[in-house]
Amino acid sequence: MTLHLLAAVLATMAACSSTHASDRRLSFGVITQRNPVLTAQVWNPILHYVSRRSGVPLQLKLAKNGAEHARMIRQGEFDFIFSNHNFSPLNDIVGYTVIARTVEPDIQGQIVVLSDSPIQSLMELQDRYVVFPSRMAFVGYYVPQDTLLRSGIRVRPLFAGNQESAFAQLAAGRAAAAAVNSEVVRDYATRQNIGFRVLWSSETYLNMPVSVHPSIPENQANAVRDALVEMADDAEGAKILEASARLIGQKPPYGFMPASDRDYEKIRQFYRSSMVKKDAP
Amino acid sequence: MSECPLRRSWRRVSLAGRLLIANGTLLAALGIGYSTVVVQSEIDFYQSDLRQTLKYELEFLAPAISEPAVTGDYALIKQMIESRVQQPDVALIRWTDPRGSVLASSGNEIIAIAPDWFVRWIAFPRLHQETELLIGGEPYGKVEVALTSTAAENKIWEALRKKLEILLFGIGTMFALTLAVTANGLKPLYRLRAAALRFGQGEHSVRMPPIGQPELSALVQAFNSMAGNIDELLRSLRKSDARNRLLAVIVEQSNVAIITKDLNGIITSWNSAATQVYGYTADEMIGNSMQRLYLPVSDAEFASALERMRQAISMVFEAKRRAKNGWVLDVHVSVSPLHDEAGSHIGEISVIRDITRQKKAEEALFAEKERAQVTLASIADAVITTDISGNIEFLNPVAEQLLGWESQEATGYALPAVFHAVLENTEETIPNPVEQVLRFPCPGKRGEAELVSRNRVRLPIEHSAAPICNREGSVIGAVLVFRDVSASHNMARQLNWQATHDALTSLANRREFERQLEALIESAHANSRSHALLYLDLDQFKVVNDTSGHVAGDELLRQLSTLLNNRVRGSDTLARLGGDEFGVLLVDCPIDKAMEVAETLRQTICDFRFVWQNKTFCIGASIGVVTIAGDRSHNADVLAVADAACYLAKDKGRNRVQASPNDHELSYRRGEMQWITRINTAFEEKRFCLHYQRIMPLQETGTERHYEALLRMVDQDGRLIPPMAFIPAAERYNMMRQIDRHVIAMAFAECSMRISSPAAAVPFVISINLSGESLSDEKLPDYIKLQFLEHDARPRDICFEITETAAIANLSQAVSLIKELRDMGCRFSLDDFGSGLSSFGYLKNLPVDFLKMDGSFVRDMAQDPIDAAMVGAINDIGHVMGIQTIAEWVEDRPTADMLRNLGVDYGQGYHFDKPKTMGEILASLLNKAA
Repeated sequence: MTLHLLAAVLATMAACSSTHASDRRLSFGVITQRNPVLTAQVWNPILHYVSRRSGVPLQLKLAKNGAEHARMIRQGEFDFIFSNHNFSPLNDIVGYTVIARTVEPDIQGQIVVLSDSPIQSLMELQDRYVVFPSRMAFVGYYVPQDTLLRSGIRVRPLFAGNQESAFAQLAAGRAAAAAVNSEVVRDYATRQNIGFRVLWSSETYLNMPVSVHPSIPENQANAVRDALVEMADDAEGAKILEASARLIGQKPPYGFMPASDRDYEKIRQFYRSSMVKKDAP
Repeated sequence: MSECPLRRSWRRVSLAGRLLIANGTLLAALGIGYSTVVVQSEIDFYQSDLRQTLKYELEFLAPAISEPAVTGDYALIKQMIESRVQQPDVALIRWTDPRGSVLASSGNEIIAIAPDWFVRWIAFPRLHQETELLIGGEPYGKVEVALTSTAAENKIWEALRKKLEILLFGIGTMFALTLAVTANGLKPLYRLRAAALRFGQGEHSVRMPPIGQPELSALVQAFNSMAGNIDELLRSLRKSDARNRLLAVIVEQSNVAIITKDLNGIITSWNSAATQVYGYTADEMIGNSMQRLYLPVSDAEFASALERMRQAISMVFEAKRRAKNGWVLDVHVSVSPLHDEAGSHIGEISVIRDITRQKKAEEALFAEKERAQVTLASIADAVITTDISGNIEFLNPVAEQLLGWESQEATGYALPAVFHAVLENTEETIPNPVEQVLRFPCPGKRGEAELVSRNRVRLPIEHSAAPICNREGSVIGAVLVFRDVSASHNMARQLNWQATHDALTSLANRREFERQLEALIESAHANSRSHALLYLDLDQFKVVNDTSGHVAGDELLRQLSTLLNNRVRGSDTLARLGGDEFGVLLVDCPIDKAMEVAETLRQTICDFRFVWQNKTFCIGASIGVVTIAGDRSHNADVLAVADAACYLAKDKGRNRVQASPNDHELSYRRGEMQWITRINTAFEEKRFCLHYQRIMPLQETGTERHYEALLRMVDQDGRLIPPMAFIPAAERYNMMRQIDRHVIAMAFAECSMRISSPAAAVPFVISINLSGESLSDEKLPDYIKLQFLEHDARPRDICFEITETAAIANLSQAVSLIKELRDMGCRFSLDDFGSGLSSFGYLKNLPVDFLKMDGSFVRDMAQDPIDAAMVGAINDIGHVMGIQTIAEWVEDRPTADMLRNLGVDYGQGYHFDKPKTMGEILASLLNKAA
């Protein structure tokens, strides 16, 4: 009840602010999986294209880290988001609605060690440092920590801010293992040419969706969704997508496809059953 | 071509200086070059570094800021900017977001140390760059970075400064080291130089220890070796050349000129004695022809000398040569052929002595001998020279003449054979004077003797002998000089006679008389003998002298002297003592006898008649007689006593003989002497005064008042003393001139006093007496003129009175004086006319205005008809001659009447007036006028 009331208030506030949406660029928040600059390099060409195509001016808005990104979602600071943090119970009340999702493969959480690491099992991580992207990361924290907690393995958590940074800390030897998004870590390790070994992998989850704040008029949301979905089919859009994917070492297929909230019920379900403390920052 | 000054200066720089300059310049150039390269390199480095920094900062900042720019983390951007701006050299970092918002920060300001010129020189480019943040095609603003080059400039400057300091330190150190090294290193060189100097000055034994650097040590050793070699060489040279040198030295130092010449007469050597002889130096003569020394006209002589030389003939000869100063020299030359070591005839050697002086001396000696002979022949003295044995060698012509021997004839005789002299008094032959001086050589032994010539003629001679000595002082003979002194003997006798005799009368003179008198006094004293002295004074002699002239007077004296000389004995002495005074000394003559002699003489004179130009004069004599006997002190003033006696005789009436005066008379004479003192005192105390007695006109013809000034002395008690008391003494002691002058001055003064009084209108004539002594006072007219001027007196008011006897005694002077003063306007009066010679003839010669008859006629004329006749005659004569007459001593009226009747013009006497002072006269005149 409280959550709903809060959501209603926030929605009203967003509606009020959206009255000015026509003469301002709408913010497009992207989850902090990589460092913000790389993220910007990947996303700004896409958003420029989408803005042109949809007629909805979009501006990339990045948080400094995952926690900040989650806080900004919770506060409804983004008009559009490319993130799954909106599914956490605290954020879900803001009311972001999924309008599309990336065509990239599903994601899964993984606990990895460096190739030459003597650690062979999760059990060996007991009381050892394990680096996580952030307390808000779904496949990077919630999913592996839940597993570790359920396995009775107490690790000493470290938080690196984002996925790539977490792997980078592992590579630097700061931690014995890193908990990361399998796709991000794969791309990053490939880029950085770092060998690693997967100790544990979670079940798969749908990759990141694009959601829209409830204050955004539907036409704009649809226009954006359409532009995104049609992007891969457009020569220019495909080129942009390809260039962006090359930046992060992502392999095809690229682009977006339509999606809805129902497609991500599995994630919401996990949050609800997770052993990880929910009100983490 | 002139040398470059820099080069000239460089040449003066010492080795140390050159090293310093070269090294300093090199080091400075290297240092500056190195510094320039290093600085340029540093400039490049810092420029590159700054560009790198700029690039780095931008490359760092752009991605660093990208992330917060992307996330909008302005705080982080600001923090990053502020962090980066702290980096060195970063002056400014500025980020401008796409909306134009600016985040900027400036670096700490750096204080510039480097100077401006340096900063301009290195000229750093502007270090400012900016870059656009474009991420994924999205602009995220602009980043600008500006760097400051100040720090770099400071660093470069500091580095350069340090390098320059090091360079300066290096140069300084190099200088110090160079100085030290050169100073120390050159020490051996300096010592070497000193040693070389000493060696050069002849100290050939000097060596140096091998010191210093190897090179210098080697140099020292080289020097030592060289010095040793030279020393050795010199020694060997000295040894081998010693003989030649000795010969050369002998030749050079010989005081005989030695010249060698080749066969062409070209001089090949010339020693210093030759230089002394000829004046030419060796440099001037060697290589020149001998002909230079020949006289200009001696070409033939030179040619024959060359011929002789070529024939290798030795000879000795005398010749004339020419010196450098042009003098012609007499030289004694000895020439010998000259052969070289191989025996070839190569020339001639001449040894020359300058015999000019010797030649001259010979000539001088010859001339001297000639001169001596001529001198001896021409002198007035006789000269005999003898050899050391006293034998005659030579007689000069005078000696020949006096001795009667020819010189040749007498030569060889002993002196006494030819020269025979005897002493004048004893006829004794004098000792041989030559023998004396030969025995006891002392020059100029003199003597007098009488020479007896060969023909027995006798001559008084003076002779002197002297030894003749040679240069060593040895006696080689004697000379006897004698002269005929008969003339000088005669002269001496004559002089002696003249000294003791009166030239006019040939009688003994006063000096001789006094000498003989002294002898008599002495004999009287010593031998108790009694002699007599007569003092004789002629009377009326002056009349002869004045009327007929001195020649007449002299003749009178001569005749009278002869006459008197015949009246005394040969042993007696008759002398002329002065003008007309004579003295007679009668030896061993008692007073009565002496009185007789005196009377004889007086009578002789009285009887004598002197005739001169048809005039006959009678004269008399007053004679005083005195005895010379007894003690010397009694006779001290015997001549004065005789004089007094003579004077007494004159006083008693002349022409008489008076024995020596008695005591009373002597005291009278002494009283006269006292008067002289009183007269002088009266002069000093101005105690003379004048009284005036009127000369009264008897015929009422004269209008002027005529007075005679009469002198009075006022004694110390105020009493008047009449002139008769002191005038005789004054006359006797020649004081009358002084008294006359005094009277003239007083009368003129009082006369002018009268002129300035109210009685001035009355015409006045003052008569002033002049003594005979004043008549001969040549300066009196000048004195009178001076008094006229001084007292403003008028000559026409003055009349001078002179006595007849004084006028006649000094006739010529009197006439001259009268004329001179009358020309001025003065008048003259002839006083006491009739008392003396009364020769009217004189009157014609005396241009007087008044004739004043002697009072002795006037006083008794009233009783004595002769006197009256005399007065009449004189008056008549005077009037005939146009002279006014004055009668004095008029004491009564009958006399005055007689005079008036006789026609006498003026009368004077107590009858008319008593003498009064001028004050009294003037007062009475005023009373009369009143």
